[in-house]
Amino acid sequence: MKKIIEVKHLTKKYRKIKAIDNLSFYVFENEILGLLGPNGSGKTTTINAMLSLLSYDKGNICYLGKEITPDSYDIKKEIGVVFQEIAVFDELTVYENIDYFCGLYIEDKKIRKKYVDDAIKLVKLEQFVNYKPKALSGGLKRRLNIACGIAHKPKIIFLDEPTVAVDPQSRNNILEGIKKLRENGATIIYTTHYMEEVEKICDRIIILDKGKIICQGTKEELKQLTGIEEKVTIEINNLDRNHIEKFKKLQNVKNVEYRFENLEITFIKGKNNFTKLIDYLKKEKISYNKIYSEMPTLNDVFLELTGKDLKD
Amino acid sequence: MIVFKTFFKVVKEYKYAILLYTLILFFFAIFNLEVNNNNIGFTAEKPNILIVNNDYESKIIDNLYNYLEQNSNIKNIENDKDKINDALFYRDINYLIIIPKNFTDYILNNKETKIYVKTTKDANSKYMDMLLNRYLKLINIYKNDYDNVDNLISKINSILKEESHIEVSSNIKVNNLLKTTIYYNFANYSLLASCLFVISTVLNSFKQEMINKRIIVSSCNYKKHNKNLFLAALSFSVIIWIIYVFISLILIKEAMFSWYGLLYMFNSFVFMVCALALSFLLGTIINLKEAINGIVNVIALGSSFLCGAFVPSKYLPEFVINISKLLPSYYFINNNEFISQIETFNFNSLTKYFINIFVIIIFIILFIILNNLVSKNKRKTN
Repeated sequence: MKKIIEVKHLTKKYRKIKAIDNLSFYVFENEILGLLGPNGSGKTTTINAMLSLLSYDKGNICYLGKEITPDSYDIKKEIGVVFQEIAVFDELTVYENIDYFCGLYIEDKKIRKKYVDDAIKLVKLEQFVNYKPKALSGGLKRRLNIACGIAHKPKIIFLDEPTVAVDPQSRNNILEGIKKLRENGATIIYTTHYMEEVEKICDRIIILDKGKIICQGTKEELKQLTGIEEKVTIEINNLDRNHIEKFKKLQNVKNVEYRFENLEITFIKGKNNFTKLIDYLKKEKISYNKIYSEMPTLNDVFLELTGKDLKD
Repeated sequence: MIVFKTFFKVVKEYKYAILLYTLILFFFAIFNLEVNNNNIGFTAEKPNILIVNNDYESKIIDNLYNYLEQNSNIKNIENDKDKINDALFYRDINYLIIIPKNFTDYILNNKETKIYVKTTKDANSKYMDMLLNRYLKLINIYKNDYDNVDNLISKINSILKEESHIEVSSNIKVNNLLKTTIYYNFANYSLLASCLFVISTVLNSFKQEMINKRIIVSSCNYKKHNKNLFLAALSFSVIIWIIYVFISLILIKEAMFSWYGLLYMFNSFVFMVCALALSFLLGTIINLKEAINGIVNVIALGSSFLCGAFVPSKYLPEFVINISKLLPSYYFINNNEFISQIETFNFNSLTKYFINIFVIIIFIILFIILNNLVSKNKRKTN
């Protein structure tokens, strides 16, 4: 795969504190790369540095082999940005806002009109073109914010937490839109602290903490890092202590906990753990109300690597 | 082009504010014209005088009566010392003229003689001094040229008539210039308020942190973007200035279609550029859009009151005038007042005008430097 962005040894200090510390990573063409990390982990600083909005102390950032500077207008032409905070004019309508931000890249009126119409369709704002932002709901404003960032059809799109404070319906619309952008050929760098979103749309994930990369890879690769295969929860009434000890001795079992009539069994890697567990329950004639299996989440990965929750 | 267009699209949102400031100026101008047509038509207040003639009723004295009667009210008071003194004390008369015995013969025969006067020592009495001296001087100048008293009187009257004609035409001009000065002084408020409010508010929208970030990360050259923004703001200011000048051209034609009009227009143009520079500074300094209206009112109303846009500066206390010298409005208004007093147009007579223009230009440069410093500092902080 073609490397479209290369970040090497990027370091940014605010006085003595390192906001980002020796970051090195690649972004491949037409992938969705997720930058995941808790608040203050350095996601936005990394993006600002990559957009040349922020000077940095060490390292370099190259787009297709060319280092970006504040005057690299040829590179900037290919970049679209959707910031975390909504950045639109209150005085302009939805259409006028998108037209203005698209106009910063595209001078030709006819092409711009088509691009603006396409962006409006993509974020499904057709009914609201003549509305002013104040008249829009939070979710619709977010969609407008996205349209303003991507209307000029950039090849590389930075999305900095675009779904913050958005209702589930709008969130799904936004995520669908992002998938469409990728289908149309865009490369996307997506930052968030919602791990479900990352799992849903990202091809590769970089997890940041305290300005450092703690791991990177596909979600499957990351989950392998934990050594956890799956977690099974069984709803059993009045389970005695002997049985709990017996569960602990089963093959591949890492941990067993019984709380509020829920038995949680964590398995390490191994085949058919869930089937073997059901066979065991039948054999021991242990009756249960509900049983379900969960695969490890990115939060489990983060917990395993840092000892703290991703949402902290 | 998109920046230019978008600037005016945002301006459109503030059309009612612009209309309001223009209407205020327009109605003020109409009101001002009405008031001036009725009151400033310069009807000189005539002094009350008393003439006590101890000479015989000669043609020279009769003619003096007639001349003074045109410019004063001649009172009829009994020739009693106490009554005359009381009339002077209570300002029933401003001026007492006592013509001595043999005055006519003495003056025509080059003998020394003197008219006695007693005055209330106010402006009216000074005016009467001037009239009386003028009449007596003319007799002394021409008495030897004419043997016949009738011819002498006719010569004196023709000269006096000519002088009064010049005085009247000058008054009409002063009236029009006074109206124009009042109009342009008030335009200080309208120009400042409309330019500051609209431009600062629109610039504030463009300079919002996140919108500014979007502009910086775009492929549009940031300096070029700001240049277009400046051109749009300049165009807006020029349009406002043209509207205000146009109103003055319609309402005060006589003064505006003259050299005086050009001076008023140029003075207001330079001041408009100053308002534009100040708008950019405010747009950069003020972060909260909601605060702009309040700050603009303080600046526009405050400077208008302090510098004499609403109340002529001659009525303002010394310390207020000293404070107002720190504001560009003072020099703009000072120039308007000065234009109405110009008699001739040459470099020497216009020196004060150009000094005031120069001071306003210094303010413009100062505002631009401050704006650049604040902008740089803000960019570093962000």
